[in-house]
Amino acid sequence: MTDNIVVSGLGCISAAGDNVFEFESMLFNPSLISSIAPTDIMKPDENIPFIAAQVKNYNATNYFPKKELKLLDRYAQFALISAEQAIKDAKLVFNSTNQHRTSVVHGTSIGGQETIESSYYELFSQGKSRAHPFTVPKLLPSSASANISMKYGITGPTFATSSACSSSGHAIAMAVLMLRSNLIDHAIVGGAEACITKGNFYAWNGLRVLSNDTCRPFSQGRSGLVIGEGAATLILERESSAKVRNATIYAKLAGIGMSSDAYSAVQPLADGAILAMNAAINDAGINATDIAYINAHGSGTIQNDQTESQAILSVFNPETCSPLVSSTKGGHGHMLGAGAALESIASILALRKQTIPATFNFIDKDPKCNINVVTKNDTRTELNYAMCNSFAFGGLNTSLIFKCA
Amino acid sequence: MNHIEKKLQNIIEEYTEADFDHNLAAENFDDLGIDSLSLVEIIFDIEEAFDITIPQDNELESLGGSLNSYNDALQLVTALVNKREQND
Repeated sequence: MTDNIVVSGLGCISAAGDNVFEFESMLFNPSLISSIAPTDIMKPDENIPFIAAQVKNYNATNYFPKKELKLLDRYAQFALISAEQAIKDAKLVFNSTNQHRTSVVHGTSIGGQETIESSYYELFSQGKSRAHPFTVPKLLPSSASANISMKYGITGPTFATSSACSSSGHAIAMAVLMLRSNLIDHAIVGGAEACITKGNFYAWNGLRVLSNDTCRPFSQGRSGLVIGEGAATLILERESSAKVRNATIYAKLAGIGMSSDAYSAVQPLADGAILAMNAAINDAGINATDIAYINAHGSGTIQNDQTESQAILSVFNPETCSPLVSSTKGGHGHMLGAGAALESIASILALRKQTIPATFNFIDKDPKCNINVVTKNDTRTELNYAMCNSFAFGGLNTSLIFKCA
Repeated sequence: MNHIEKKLQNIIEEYTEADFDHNLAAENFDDLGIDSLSLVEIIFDIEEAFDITIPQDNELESLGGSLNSYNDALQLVTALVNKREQND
């Protein structure tokens, strides 16, 4: 009998809470907090109130000694915080018998954006002639994975995945493949992002996709996406090893799907999304009718929402099945490379609670998104499979399927 | 203690737990708990503080200099500051 791959530990930090407990509270009670607001990290332009989903009241010195902080960009700090939570949650203790059989795969879209910008500001605007010697180790997109590895002495395969907004989806998929091929016994997987920075906001604003009020996925009246920050980490392992440790089995990771649109740098294509979803369904060995809930990419841009809806209607024939769909980005923002990992946690919490979290900030149905959008928490008794979609710029897609434990 | 010594000592003190004084001036940085990563930062701080450029390791070696202790650093910084002042 196949040894299932399971999720045995969860950790996260985002605008929607500093840990999984807070995230769960927010996810099912969105009125608890106001997670999306004009950013106070920086003032890019007094006339433009840049809206962001920023980690609230974050003080790095509450988490790290001053000496460690010198080598940690904000995104790597978030990665380490979420990894620590997940490792503790999984009751994992690392030692010489398991460190080499453990992998760290953490995704990020951009990496150390804050480090890049502050360093360039000093060089190009402040007349400095030298960069701080830790600039490079801080800005590397692999520095989060490297720092997690160093902290826990993990000597197995350690690397970053970068595929824009699917980065942590690919991280999870890579770990699943390594577990299946018996390269490793445990995986610390996830994603982190921290790019609420002046340059980054102007760059995204140039694409004319940033919202000027809030994130309203699949809804009429939406004005675009909201950049979020934070990190999420999951512990993956085989069911047998989790049981030996008496760890909580949050869900089974039933299937993975990956694809590329091979089409446009920014314009999504339904065909690519269809490929990824079908690949995940085939990988899980189930039928489309088995999927009860889809945690959609649902970025809140017209292009994404309408293309994703078209793809969902193609994979899930409305005459035979109509999975419930929600996007949780209205709560935690678009966390780019960390999105798939946090939304995987949202999908898993939905399965555990047998409740589908609402799509926040929804006003009215977009006729071009003719899918079954959940606008109020929806409790069911037969939520066995949940799909988590991530469809990134460049047409890089992942679709993950989780099953009730 | 001249102004170079004072500034240099302040920089070194940031990176060692040792109660730094002139008895430790000849001690290897290693023995003061200053690792290679900290030494890179110390070099950056020195360059910023004195507006000088510390030569790369191979260049330093060919000049007969070294940077293994406070005394090494003091000798090197004093020479580089004097050179800069002559050129100013």
